[in-house]
Amino acid sequence: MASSGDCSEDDGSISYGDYSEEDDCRNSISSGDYSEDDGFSGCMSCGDYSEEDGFSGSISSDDCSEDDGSISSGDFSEDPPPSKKQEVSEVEGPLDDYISQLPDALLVQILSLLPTTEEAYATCVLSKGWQHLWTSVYNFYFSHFRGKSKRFLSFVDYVLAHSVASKIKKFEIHCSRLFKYKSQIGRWLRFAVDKNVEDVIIYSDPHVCILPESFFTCSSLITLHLVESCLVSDIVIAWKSLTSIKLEDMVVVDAEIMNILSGCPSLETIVFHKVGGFRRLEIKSSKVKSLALEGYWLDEGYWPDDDGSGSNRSFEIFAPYLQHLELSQDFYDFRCRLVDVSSLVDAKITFDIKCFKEFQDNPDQDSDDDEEEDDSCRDFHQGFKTLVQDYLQKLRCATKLTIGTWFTEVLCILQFKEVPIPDLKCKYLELELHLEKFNLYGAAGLLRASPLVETVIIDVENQPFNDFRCRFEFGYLEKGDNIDLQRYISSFVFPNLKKVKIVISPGMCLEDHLEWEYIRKVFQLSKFLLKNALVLEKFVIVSSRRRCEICYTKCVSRYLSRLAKKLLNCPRSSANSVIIFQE
Amino acid sequence: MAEASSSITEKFFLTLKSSDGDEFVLEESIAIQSITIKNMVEDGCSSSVIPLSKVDTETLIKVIEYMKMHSSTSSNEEEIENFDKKFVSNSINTILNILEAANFLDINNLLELCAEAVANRIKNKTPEAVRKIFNITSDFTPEEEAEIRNETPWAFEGNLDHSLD
Repeated sequence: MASSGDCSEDDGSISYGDYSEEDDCRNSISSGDYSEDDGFSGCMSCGDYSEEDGFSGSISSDDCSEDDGSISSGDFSEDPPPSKKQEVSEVEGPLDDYISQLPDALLVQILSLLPTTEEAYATCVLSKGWQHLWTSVYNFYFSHFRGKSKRFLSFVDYVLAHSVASKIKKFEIHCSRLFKYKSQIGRWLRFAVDKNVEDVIIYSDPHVCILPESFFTCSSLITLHLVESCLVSDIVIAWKSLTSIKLEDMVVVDAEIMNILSGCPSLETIVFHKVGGFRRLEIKSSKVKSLALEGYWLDEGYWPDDDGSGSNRSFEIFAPYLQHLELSQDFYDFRCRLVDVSSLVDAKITFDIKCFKEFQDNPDQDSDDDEEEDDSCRDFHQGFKTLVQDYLQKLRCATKLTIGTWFTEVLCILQFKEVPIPDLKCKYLELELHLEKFNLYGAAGLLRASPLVETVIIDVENQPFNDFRCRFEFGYLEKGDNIDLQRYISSFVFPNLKKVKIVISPGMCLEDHLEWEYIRKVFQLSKFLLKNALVLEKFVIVSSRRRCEICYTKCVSRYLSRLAKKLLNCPRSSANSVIIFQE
Repeated sequence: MAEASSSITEKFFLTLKSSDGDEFVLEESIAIQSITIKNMVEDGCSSSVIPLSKVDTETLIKVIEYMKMHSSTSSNEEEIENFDKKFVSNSINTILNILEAANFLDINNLLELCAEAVANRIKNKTPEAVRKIFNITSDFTPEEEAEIRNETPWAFEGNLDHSLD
């Protein structure tokens, strides 16, 4: 029964007439036989398979009634492949061809794991036993990244016309700049939809929607990842099984987001990677547990009502059932306001926002204008402070927090302004700090606001950064970096802190940062933790033993051993604590 | 059976017999990662020796090693990851044997691990290199092969690796 289903699916929405103009579709007939005969059962070896149906050209027209007799299967019948057994016996060598003796289903599984469909296809020349195995692969990956479009298009046509997979698991296609061939691509996607595809990745074009209408109602879809694509807001979406959606490098407006959310009742995870254009993310479904905004896409065209003061550049999140929230990478000068995130369990707030003046055409004006400039962005910075104060309130109940450099900077200024910082309930606190840029006073202030913390991870990174600093806040930041923590944050203890770990992000070169000045801030922060953690058990410094790929020395290890040596002499509150230098 | 099931801590053991006739005693809780074995146990075949006529001793030892590592509650994720990494560095023929055994025994994650390992040996390789790695003899005439290659040039134009590593 299943196999007749397969055939009728083939008959359905894809017209193979189109394909047969370029490539004769003889194989789709024999494929029909094939899928009926063994249909993924896996109990036959290649040899058995070719022996039994042998592509002899005697095609049963009952199987695929729409295929008329005019299609020749001649090429395949010219030389019927010998059985596996013969093949093996012909090889008198010391080694056996073990792999070809595996059941077809296993070989198809292996071919489906190859990174590209080209590679799976190319196994057809290995031997006659392998010639048609590729037609059963259930994962597809097509990319026209190299070479000519025409050849790419006809290859995809060829592969899909010959595919006999009864079901497609994964379908990935990179077809940016091919929007001219929209109808062809649409046909491929309809094919995937007809085969109940589960996971789809599409790289397309930001200005033309290449997705066919039936794609929007694909009920088998479980995960979807769209890159540089464009959606349409007035289409009916019905992705009933979709649990995870990732949009990347694209503009999505509020109406489109609402449309997606209302059409995906099972959605649990949303990831926006450099997505912009929206102003409000309203997630009312209690199923959606996780939201990540990795950067915000800056596209001026989508902010026509901007008055130039930067005050208008914000978006908000309303997601009362959300448990995991990530706001990371570059937000330019856009502010993300949290309206309702009252169910948060863990949050990662590591994004970076810059002063809007950095994006103006001429940021380095004559020094005469300094004062005026300071005034022009005063409100903008005031907005930062209000934002962080609000975040602290909204994140109060999360038990796991990851906080980044920008947050420590604003926290520094808030503390100098003597704004009270509410106590957080987090037990696990990770600080993702930029080696140079993070603010010592701000980072220490965050630790002080976490009295329940049991584990602190300090993850140091050193990506190159734009050195632009608005003069408006620079004075405070400098003061915060040179502060005497023991004096400013006195009479304070961590009653629960048991474990501290310092890690340096992989792939980082520290050759230019071995001077004490660069180690000092991390050292001060570590000293503060050692001094005030009453029940500390382990203070772990994790170093890579490997040589740096950039400077060819063990720069990270040198940096951290200096830090560790210095820390050994520091006072500790916990008698049972050990400092471990882990390689 | 009744008194045995009343004790939660009591361990049951199974005896697995390889195609070479060697017997291995294994905790039931570990062995039932194999759905095939689990079904046999549920059907009441566990009292005697379970014959695995399709798995030789060498392969069975590897499979048991894998099941022990993956069932043990004491091994953490990192240990398992390192074990898996080392496991797939076995010779390709050993991996193929284990793959077939995992298929027969229905141990899904072992099957996936081995299939991935085999795919990794094929990926980025020219067909010529794949033939050598797996000792596959082509039964195409040069003309037949050329014809296939000409039909879909796209698939054979990529920068594939000729080496056998």
